[in-house]
Amino acid sequence: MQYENRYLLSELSTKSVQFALPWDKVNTGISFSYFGYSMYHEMLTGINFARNFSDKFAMGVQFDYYTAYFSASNSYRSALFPQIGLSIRFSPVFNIGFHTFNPFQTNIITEYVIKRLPSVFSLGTEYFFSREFVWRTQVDKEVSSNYRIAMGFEYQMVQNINLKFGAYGSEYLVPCLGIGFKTGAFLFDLNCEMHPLLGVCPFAEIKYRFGK
Amino acid sequence: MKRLFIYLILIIKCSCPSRAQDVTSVTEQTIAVIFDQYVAESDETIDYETFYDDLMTCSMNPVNLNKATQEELEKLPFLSDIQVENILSYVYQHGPMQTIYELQLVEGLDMTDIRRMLPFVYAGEANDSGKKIYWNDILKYGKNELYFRLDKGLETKEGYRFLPEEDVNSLPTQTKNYIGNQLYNSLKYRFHYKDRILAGITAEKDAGEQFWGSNHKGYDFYSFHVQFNNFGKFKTIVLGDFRANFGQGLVLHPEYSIGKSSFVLNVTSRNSGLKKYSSTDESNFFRGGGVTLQLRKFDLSVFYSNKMIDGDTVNGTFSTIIKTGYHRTPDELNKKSTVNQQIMGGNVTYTNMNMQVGITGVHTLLNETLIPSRTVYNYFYFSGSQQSTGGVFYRYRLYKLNLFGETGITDHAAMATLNGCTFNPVSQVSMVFLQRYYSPRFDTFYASSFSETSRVNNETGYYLGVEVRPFSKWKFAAYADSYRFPWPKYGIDAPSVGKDYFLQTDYSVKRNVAMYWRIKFEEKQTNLTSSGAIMPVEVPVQKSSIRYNLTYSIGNFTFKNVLEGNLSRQGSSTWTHGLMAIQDLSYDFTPILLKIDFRVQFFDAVNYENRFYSYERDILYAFSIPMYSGLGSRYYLNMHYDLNKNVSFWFKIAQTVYADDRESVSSGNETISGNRKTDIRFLVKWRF
Repeated sequence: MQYENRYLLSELSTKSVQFALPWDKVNTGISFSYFGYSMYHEMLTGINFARNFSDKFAMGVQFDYYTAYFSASNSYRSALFPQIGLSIRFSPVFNIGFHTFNPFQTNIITEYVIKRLPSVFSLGTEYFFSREFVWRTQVDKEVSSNYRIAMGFEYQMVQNINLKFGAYGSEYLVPCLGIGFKTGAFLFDLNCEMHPLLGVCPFAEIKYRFGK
Repeated sequence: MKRLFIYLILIIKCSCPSRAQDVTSVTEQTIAVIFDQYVAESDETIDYETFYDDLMTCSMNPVNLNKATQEELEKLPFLSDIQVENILSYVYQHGPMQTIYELQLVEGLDMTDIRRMLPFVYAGEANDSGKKIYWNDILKYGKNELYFRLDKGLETKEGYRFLPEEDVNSLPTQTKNYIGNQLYNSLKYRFHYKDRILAGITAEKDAGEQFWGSNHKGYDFYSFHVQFNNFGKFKTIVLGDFRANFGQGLVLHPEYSIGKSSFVLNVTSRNSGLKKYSSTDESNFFRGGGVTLQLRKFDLSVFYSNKMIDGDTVNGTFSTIIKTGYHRTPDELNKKSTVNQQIMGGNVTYTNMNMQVGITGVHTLLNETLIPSRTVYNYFYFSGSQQSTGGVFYRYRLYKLNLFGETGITDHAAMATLNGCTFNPVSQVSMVFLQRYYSPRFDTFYASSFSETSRVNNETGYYLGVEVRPFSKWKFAAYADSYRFPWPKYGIDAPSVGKDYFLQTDYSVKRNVAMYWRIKFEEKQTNLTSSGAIMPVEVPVQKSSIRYNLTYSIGNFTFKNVLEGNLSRQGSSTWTHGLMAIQDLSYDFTPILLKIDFRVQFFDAVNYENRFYSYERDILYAFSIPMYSGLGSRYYLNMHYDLNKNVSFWFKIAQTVYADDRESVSSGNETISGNRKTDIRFLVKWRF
C-alpha cells in the first residue's frame, strides 16, 4: 500500500495498492491507484506479468486501464496502454534496466479537450559497491518534456534499516531522502522529495510478505 | 612481519626525492595548493593570511598522530570529518603508528592526502603539551620572525593624478582623490614558542593611504596579539586581537567559512574556539581578550571585545558597516572608526568519544544606531544598536553516520539551522548530506557558514557531496546543491531558486605527473533588465565550465598546463563563451636557494559573464586569484631566494595586457590609462 502527498496538498495525493503473486514460471500481480479529489481524479488499474530468464535478464509487462473523471461533462473517460520493463544483469555487481510507460502515446479524446497522457522512457543502472551499498542512476524522457536525470544511493546501515538519498534534476534540482524499516513480514518505507519551489512531497509505503 | 613489509613499500612510494628540499618552501607550496583547491573559481575574497598562518603554525608544531585528538586533527582543513574519524579509529584499533607512512593503511586517505598531511603531522611518542614552561626556554628556543612587504602598481591610477607632488601633505584638490602614495606596505613581527606561546604585531598601509601627513600619521592599521595555550586549566588565553569560532558558524565565525569547493566533503566550519588574529583584514576580528577553561570534558570560553569600526555616521545613526579597510580619500577617512562596537560572549562545549554538544551566546552593542537605507532586498537586515544571538550545536556518531548541526536564534526570534551527516558506507565512497534554513530575518554580525552567498540569511537548501576512489590513482568528487532564496536579494527583486553541479576527476599518473578534469554547472536567477515591467521579471542565468589541469615535473623543472572554457547565457538569449589557457614553468636552482615561477596566460572572455578566476603563485602571505574579463594575456615572474638560514626574499612582477582596444583599465580612482596593468611585490623575511 502506498500513499503520496505531493507538496502536502491532499488534492494532489495518490493512493495505491498492489498485490504480487510469484509462480514457478512467471510472477503475476495486480495494482490500483487513485489520484485527485471529487472534482477531478484519475484511476489506474493494472495487471502485470514478469519472468526472470536464466538470471541474466528479467522482463515484465503491465496492462494498464486508465480512467479520468471530467467534471465539465460529468463523465469518465478511459484508455488502455502497457508498461514494459527489462532488467539485464551484466555482472554480479552491475545491472541495467529499461522501462517505458505508455510507449504508444495513447491519449484521451473528449468532445472538448484532448487529454495527453504521459509517455515515458527510462534507462537506469545499478552498481553494488557492496551488499549494503548500492548506487543507482536513471535518465527519464517524457516525450514532450525535458530529460530528467536522477542519481541515488541506498545504504543498509544496520540490519533491517536502510537509508536512501539522492537527487533528480530537470528544470529544478530536487533532493530526495528516505528511510526503510523491516520487521517480521512488514516493510515500512518513508521517502520525501524537497522541491526548491513547491515544497515537500512525502511518500509512504507498507509492504507485507505472505508466507516465506 | 607483514606490517614491516607494508612499511617498506609505503616508504618507497611516499619518500621524497633524494635531493634535500627546503621544508619550509614545500610547506608553503602545499598550503598554497590546498587553498587553491578551496577557493577554486570562487569570486569571494577569503582571508588567505589566516589560513596560511594557521597551517604554518601547525607545520612548526606538527600534530602527533598517536596522541592526536579530534580537535587537533580538525586544524587541518583539507581533512574531511570522515578522514579525521578514520585516523582516530585506526590508532584506537591498531595501536600507535610506527611511521607516518602507515597513514596509507587508513581508510579514505590516498597518496595526495598523505602528501598534504606530511608537513603537519608526525608519528611519535612524547607529548609535551602540558609541560611547565620556563622563561629561559622561552628566550632560548622561542622563534622570532619579521616580515616587510612592499607592493606598487607601475602605472599611475586616476586617484593619484591630482596629488601635488611637491607637497604631499597638502589637501588634495578633489575630495575623492587618494591622499597617500601608491605604495602598499606591511610590517609584521611574529614570535612563537612551540605552540604554547604565540605573539605578534602587524602594521599595514594600503596603497593610497597616507603614511605621514596632515591627514594621518603612521600606519593606517595596527594589530597586536598574544596567545597562551595549555597553561594548567587554561586551554587558551588570548589578548589583543583575536577570533572566536564556535560550532558550525551560525552564531559566531568571523573567519573564512568553508563552502562549496573541490573538497566536496568539507562543508562545515570547525569548532576552533578562541585563537589569535594576525591578518591584515581590518574588519573581521575582535579586540580585547578571552579565555577557555578546560574542566574535564567541558570547555568553558568567555571573551570581551571593544573596538572601533567604520560607518557612514550621521546624527548618531549609520546605514552600513564599511568593511573594506580602505582609508585613502578624505571621504573614506571621515568614516574611519566612527562607531564603537562591544561584543561579549561565551561558549560551553561538552565532548566525549561519540558526541560533542555546545551552546554559544553573544551580545553586540553599538554606540550608534544602525539603520540601513531600506530597499526591498535589505528589508529584514538588522537595525538597532544591540543584538543578542544564541545557538546550540552538536556532533554525534551513530553507527557509521556522523551527524552534525547547529541552530541559532536572535533576540528578534529569527532562526537559522543547519544539519547534516557524513559517512563512508564502503571504503571507496564517502558522502555528505547537508540541509540549511536561514530565515530572511536572521542577520547577525559575525555568522559565517555554508551558504551560496557570503551572508547567512534568506536561504534554504540541500547539498549532497560524494567522493569515490574506485581504483588506485583515481578519485571522483561530485556535489549537487539545490537552494532557494525566499526573499528578494540584491539584483533579484523576487524570491528565486538556483542549483549547482560539480564533478572533478583526479588522476595521479605517477609521483611527478597528476591531472584533473573539472566540470561545473550553475543556474540561478536574475532580474530581466530590459523588461520594463512593474512587477519583477526573473530569468535564469546559466553558466557551465570545464577545466583540464596537468602538472608534471622533470628534474628541477615543474610544469603546469591549464585549459578552461565556459559557456553562459541569460534567459533564452544565445550562449556566450570564454576561453583561457595557462602555461606555468617553475625552476629550482638548487644548490643555489633560488626558485622562480613563470607564467604565460591567454584569456578570451569578451562578456563579463564569461570571466575567469585563476590562482597564481605569489610572494609569501599573498595569494592571488585575479579575475580575467575581456581579451588579453597576462604573464608574471615570481622569485623566492633564501640568502641564508635567516633571511629570505620574494619578488613578483606581473603584467596584464588587454588586446580588445580598450583605452583604460579598471574604473573610478583605480582607472589606468592604456591597456596595461603592471604590479610588483617585494617581501623580506628575517628569522632570529
